[in-house]
Amino acid sequence: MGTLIVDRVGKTYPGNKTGEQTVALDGVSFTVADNEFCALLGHSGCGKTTLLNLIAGFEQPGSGSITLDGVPVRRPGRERAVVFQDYALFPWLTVEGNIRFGLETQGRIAAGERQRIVDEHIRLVGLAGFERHLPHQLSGGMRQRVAIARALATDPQVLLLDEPFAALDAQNRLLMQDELARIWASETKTMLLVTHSIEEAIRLADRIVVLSRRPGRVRENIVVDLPRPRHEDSAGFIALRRHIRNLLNDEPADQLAVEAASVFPLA
Amino acid sequence: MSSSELTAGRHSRSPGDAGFNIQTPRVPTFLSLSLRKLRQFGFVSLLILAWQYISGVWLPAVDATLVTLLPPPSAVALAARDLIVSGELPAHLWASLQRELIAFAFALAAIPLGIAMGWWKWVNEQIDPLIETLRPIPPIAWIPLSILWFGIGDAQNQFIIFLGIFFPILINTVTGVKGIETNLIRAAQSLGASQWHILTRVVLRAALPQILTGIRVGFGFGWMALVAAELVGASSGLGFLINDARSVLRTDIILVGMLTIGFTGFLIDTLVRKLARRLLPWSLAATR
Repeated sequence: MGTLIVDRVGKTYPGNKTGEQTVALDGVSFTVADNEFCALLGHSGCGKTTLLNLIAGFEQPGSGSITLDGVPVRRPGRERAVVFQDYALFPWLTVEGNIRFGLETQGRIAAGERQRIVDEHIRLVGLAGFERHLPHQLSGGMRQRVAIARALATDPQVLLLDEPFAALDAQNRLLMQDELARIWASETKTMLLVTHSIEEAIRLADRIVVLSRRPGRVRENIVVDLPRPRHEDSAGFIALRRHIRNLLNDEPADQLAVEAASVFPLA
Repeated sequence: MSSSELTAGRHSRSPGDAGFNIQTPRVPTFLSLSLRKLRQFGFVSLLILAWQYISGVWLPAVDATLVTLLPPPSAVALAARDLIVSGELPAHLWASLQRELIAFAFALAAIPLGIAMGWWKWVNEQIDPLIETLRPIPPIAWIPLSILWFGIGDAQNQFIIFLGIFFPILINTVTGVKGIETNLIRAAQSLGASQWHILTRVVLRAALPQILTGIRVGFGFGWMALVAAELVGASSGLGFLINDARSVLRTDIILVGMLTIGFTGFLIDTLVRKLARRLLPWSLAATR
């Protein structure tokens, strides 16, 4: 199971010295069904990472509620694994050690079973032969594979991915997107991917929740029913991309939006 | 052709040899490595020669009694040999090292305290004012009080060294813990780690490079404090040795003692650094 319900969630940060508050999220609601792949799409600074932090339990929402299978989220937990943009691997642990970490915090798994799970996940992300390497000896793409394996090893109900491929070069990003699609197909988990790339969202997701610029509100909740694998030059892909681009650009044309549009190829 | 010319020649040729051929980088031979190492002692050798000349030739010609104040290196070397053969120097060195090590063992308490201070705000709030007041007091300033408390001997000496080692380890541990990347902690939390797990298996490990820096600095401070403590409050150790030699005007022994203190301090530091490199290959890669 892994049904995630985000219900009218708001988050406000106290301002600096001026006392002006920053409204990061305002009345955000959406549902991610069990085994569904959902993408949270929006400009940088629209609060999508804040939302992911709330779902992960790192922070508490100011209003509204987040539940996983009906259980309110109050703190970080094993059932909601997180893959970070900067990988957040333990640099002193080997590839194996990192993947084993989440299993060792649960006392009840026997050592043999533990090793079997570790080996299985090393194979799943294609890192056989690198078991004893330390993270600094790996490339960015390989580190993110370790992070994904580590998150999956504890058998979570939801995998939360915070712009996991943003630090990779274009080639590796495409490769890792395919990898993630493959892993999702074989593991069938509920996935929530935070991204600012329209293409990434369309390539991977069943559902795309488009967030508006600050304060983050749900702009549109799109169900993607294009056949997989999805090609960027198919008619459906192009049409959806144009639609989302317009959604993201159809915002108050302040200077920031113009800048963002030129930084991220949305226009 | 002098040895320095030889090594310089080798050095200037090697980049050309390496050139674009990455497969076969020039492997420095043992001989070339040791010659290069030797080169850095050029200036020191020159100074020793000058000292030998001044104390051995020039001073006796001016006023023979002055030689007593600054004996030549050759006399110092002879004194060192005698002290080593008689077992006196090793005994004093061992006495000092023992004190340093025992004090170090006690000072390791700074690690859990530092972790607690770095992790829980309220612990830091309560302890920090105390630490910040005590820290600027040089260990040497504790000597009078500590002699009254512990008398003359090991306990008093160890206490002074302890003060020297404790604070650098504590301050560095706190800094190390506060500097840990938030996402590392969050990752551990998401993987189901308990608070205890996080403290022992993430926080301690992640702060270890900084803690080792603290230990290095602490050992240095402690070593300096040790000698000061032994000067006045001991009947053995290197500090005692040089102070005792003063009372009988054996400047050669004083110099032997001082040099031993210097070399040992250098050796300890090198050892800790090597150990850190061996234990923490990941932190070295991260900082480079």
